[in-house]
Amino acid sequence: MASLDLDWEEVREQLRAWREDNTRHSEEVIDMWEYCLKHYKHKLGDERWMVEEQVVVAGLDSYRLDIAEHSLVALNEQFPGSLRVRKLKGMRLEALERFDEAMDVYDSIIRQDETNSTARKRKVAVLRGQGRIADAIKELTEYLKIFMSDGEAWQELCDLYLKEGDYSKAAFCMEELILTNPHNHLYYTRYAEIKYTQRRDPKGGLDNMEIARSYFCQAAKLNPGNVRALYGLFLSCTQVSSSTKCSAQKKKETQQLATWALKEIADRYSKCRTNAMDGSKILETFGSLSITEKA
Amino acid sequence: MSGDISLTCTTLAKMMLHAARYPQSAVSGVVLAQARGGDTTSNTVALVDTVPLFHLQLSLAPMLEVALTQIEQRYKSEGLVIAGYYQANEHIKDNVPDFVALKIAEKIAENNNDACLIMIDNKKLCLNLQSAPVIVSQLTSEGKWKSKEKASVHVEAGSLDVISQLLQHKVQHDLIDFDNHLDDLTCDWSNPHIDKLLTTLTAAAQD
Repeated sequence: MASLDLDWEEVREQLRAWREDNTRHSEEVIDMWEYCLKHYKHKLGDERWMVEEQVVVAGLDSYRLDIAEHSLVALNEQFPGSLRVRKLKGMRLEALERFDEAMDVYDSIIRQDETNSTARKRKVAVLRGQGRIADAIKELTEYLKIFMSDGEAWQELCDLYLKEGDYSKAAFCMEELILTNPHNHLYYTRYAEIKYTQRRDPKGGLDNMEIARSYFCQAAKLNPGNVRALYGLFLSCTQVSSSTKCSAQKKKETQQLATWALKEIADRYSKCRTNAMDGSKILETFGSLSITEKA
Repeated sequence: MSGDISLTCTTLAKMMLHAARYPQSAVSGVVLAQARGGDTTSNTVALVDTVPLFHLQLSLAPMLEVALTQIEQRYKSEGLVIAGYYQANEHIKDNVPDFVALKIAEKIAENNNDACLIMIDNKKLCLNLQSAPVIVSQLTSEGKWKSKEKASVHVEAGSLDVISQLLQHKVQHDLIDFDNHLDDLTCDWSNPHIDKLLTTLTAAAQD
């Protein structure tokens, strides 16, 4: 295949940027490699090997095993005995659904290098790939006992618990993340969403809702552009003020906060001049949910 | 409910594009049908459109409530109501509804007797669709979700060809779901651009 009208240096920059951001863009990586960069391997110097590694992962992601294997062979020749390459071999086995063999590969890496965190994380991925969520959770908790400060792993554990419907444990993971990243509004939002979902909890439904309200509030404060937080704030305020256990004074304050949140949302819509939703309609749409009329 | 179910090309297309846009994660959304104004003569539930909802996290309540409220409001004037829920699971071989799918579908069924639960059969989703990769269920009188016979699920003629074309041209990257909308309010989850494209494609197919 002839190379397209792509400037190979630009492509190199793009792939580099994705590597640094830790984003995969697998389909694009494969296209860029196939139609451009593979014809310029000799110009890449040592960076070639980073690119080949990226291509292997992208190839496995999009089931282009032909491409992945080609690059894997090249890496293997260049770095015989490398653990990093061995991990890629394990990932290839995963893509082929040869899960037991992949597990053996990762175990052999861990035996050789106890501190190898990626191999341990791949083991969680193998279990997840087989749909064994409960086992994946167990493996990941073991991992977190050793690598406590791995935020990515806490987030994965949170996702797994949510998949299982274990909201209180999912909330715990988010608490860990908030402690280590007290300025990340996304963690506050997610935590609040979990707490809000826990409102059916027989003990502490209202408590959970009030916690949700506070965390949505904090998220909206950290990033006023966070629309999820504003919507969440509105909903949780509405829920809190409709509770029979809520005192009159608190009811009034909460309603004011709900009205404020709704106004902010309407404002966001009118500012971005979107066709998706008319800002003025927001009040009409959600006004019916609001408690103000019933009070 | 023993009636038949029909899906328009748009309904199926948006579902498929949604699943194809996020192959690495589970996706969910709702399907819409014409409200039945006391008309019980027709036994067929016609699903006429789809609104793709989430791909980030399916099991959280608040944004789902926001989405459902907005959707209800938007389509009220067109006489459309939410008539079902669809989900594609994360794992390619998994097409069994999980607790989230069941719970949401049950909620919808509380308001709509004809409500259906559609699971996308990931394994059958490909660039040359041979059959509609969906498993459609409805509630039985015993309160269980029972999947319908293939013969009673009708897909608009020519849809599979049109959807295959969309997938071949990677149109999935233009599909907008409610998560996209929350990240960027200018993104319209009713996907008017996809509707437009479909109108052109189906017109061309009929020529």
